[in-house]
Amino acid sequence: MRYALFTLLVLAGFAWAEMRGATLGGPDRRHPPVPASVRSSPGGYRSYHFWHTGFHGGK
Amino acid sequence: MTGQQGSCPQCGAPISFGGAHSLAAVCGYCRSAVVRKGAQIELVGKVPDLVSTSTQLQLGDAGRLDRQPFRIVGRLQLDQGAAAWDEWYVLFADGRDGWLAEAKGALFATRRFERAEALPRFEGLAPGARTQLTGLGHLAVDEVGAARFVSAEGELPFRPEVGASYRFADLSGPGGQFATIDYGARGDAPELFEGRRIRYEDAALATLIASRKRGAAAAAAGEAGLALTCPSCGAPVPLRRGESESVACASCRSLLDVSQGSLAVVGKLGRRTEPLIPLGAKGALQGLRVEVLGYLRRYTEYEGQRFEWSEWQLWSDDGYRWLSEYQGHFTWLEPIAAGEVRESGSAMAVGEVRYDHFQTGRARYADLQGELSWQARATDVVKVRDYVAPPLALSCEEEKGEINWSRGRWLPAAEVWKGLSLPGAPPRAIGVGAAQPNPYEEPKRWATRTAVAGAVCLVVLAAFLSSALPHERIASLDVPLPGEGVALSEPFELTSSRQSLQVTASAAMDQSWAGLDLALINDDTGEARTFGFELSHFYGSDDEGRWSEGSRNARAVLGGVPRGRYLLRVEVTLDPPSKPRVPPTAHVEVVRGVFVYAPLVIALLALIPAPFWLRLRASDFERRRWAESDHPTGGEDEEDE
Repeated sequence: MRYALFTLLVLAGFAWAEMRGATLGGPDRRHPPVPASVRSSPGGYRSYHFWHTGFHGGK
Repeated sequence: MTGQQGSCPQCGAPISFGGAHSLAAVCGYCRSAVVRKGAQIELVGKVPDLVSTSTQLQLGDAGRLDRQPFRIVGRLQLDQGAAAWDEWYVLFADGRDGWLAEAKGALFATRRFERAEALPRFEGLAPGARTQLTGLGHLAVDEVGAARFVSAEGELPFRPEVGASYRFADLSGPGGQFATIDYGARGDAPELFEGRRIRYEDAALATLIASRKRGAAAAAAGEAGLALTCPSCGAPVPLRRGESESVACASCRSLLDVSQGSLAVVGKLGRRTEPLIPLGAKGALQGLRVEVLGYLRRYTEYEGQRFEWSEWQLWSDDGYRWLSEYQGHFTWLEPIAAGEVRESGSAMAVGEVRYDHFQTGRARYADLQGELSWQARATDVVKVRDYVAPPLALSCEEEKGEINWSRGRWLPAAEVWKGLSLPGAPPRAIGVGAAQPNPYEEPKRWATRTAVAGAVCLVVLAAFLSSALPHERIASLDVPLPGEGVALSEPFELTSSRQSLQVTASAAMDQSWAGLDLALINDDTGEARTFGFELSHFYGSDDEGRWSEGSRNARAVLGGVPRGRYLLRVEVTLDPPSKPRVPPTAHVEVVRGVFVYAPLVIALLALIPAPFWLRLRASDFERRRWAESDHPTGGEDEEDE
């Protein structure tokens, strides 16, 4: 009986996680906020190497 | 030849022959046996007085079997050198005759089987063997022996010979089927009687018996059983059942044979043990009223080690029953006919239940108290085979040309104690009982079924959610590749609290490579989530043939993205050799509300541990059960259950 309840909880948890698009880890790195003043400056989004993940050439 | 009346040639008393098959009768006044020859009645000789038995029937009783009324017209008493039993000769309303035999606390109804063909030779039958009888199928041989004529009353279908010995074989089949081959005296043609084991109520005799018992009880109020005197020490020896054949003197430890009507010393018993359940205990077990008649402490030896267990013989509303105890584990046993049991590979089967072999041993008596329904000897050695199908058990005992099967059920000690109103606490069970039900088996089965059902539900739910999620494209941009520049999407809004985002990129790469650094930037907070794609496609040929590698498409799913205003930044990196060959743009798209697999995988994994753990526990329980058997499957560490 307890296991049946647990299974129901698992089902509910799965549905909840799926609706929220929850993932375990993921391909991305998270970065702290960049101040809006910096971002709103001309070319702000373009000039920051901060977002660069490090590609240095392929084949 | 029915309905013949006459008078006794010896005393002149009236004698009647009620049935077509009745050839002889015993005069109720002078106990002379007579036979009829045509209209004549001839004297055969005196028949000894009837011996006392615990029969529940009497001459003249009427009943009904298979919707056919019958009346008891004769009685035959036989023995095998021990206590006599009764076989009642009955006439049915359709003119046929038959027998009701009371033996070992059971009632067997048989009728002559007219279509009998080629019956097996007496010498060719052995207990435990099976034989084919035309019209009756394969039957198991329960007993092969000879019965001695002791006494008779009323009508009989044969000429009685005082002291004559009649050879017989009892056989049984499934569903209570029963048959007797009557080989008679040497030189007689064998006759086959077929029938089944029945209860008194099946023959509409129960009410009559109950009424008679009430009368007898009123007449003998206060009298409890029979009191005999030990021929060895003179101590009183109580006897609760008239059909008991052995009794132990509690005073001098003599084993006494009571089968001849008086007590005879047949051996001395050794050490006295204290039974867990006292003799004379009464109560209700398994829906039957029971009384403890006898107690046995038995043992078997295996590789120099002695294993002891206890057994109690009980008298119940439905004949004899047994209670067996080993290390605090109790088993309730009831006799079944050998014909009910069939071989099933290395196992035995009764009905649909298959019993696995547990152990075989040679059982001896360590102690014997109270009374027993057979001629026990202190030196008896019985071959015992035990089979189990927890919580059921099957036991076979072979001795002296006889085979006895019992079917059992594991009983919690507390149920025994409660049923018999025994004082104190029941003994603590040690280890795992042979027929003890596996407490993990049902939870294991249940958990496994629940896990499978849960997994199916998860997959169905996943399919439903996958189709219910919006899959809405909310941004797209074409990123110029040759300049290795940076591109930004138009800002887009995410209105749901949290959701998944799928970002895809594709480009018509041809012998070239491009790296994309992507950043999903929350325009409100400045938080960013970065990730990278590689787009490439190379191909060629070598000694092993054509080859290709890389992918022109890439995909990433970002989970739990909160609501807000976002934009996507894409920065291009190229390696120098690719620069001339890259396509002009890469197409990047953002889709919200896509299915993510991680929760499904985690949920499926979460369902596994409980059934897996229960499976391990159930398996360990079985290992400990079988460690006590002839087929151990592992170590022998002990733990109470």
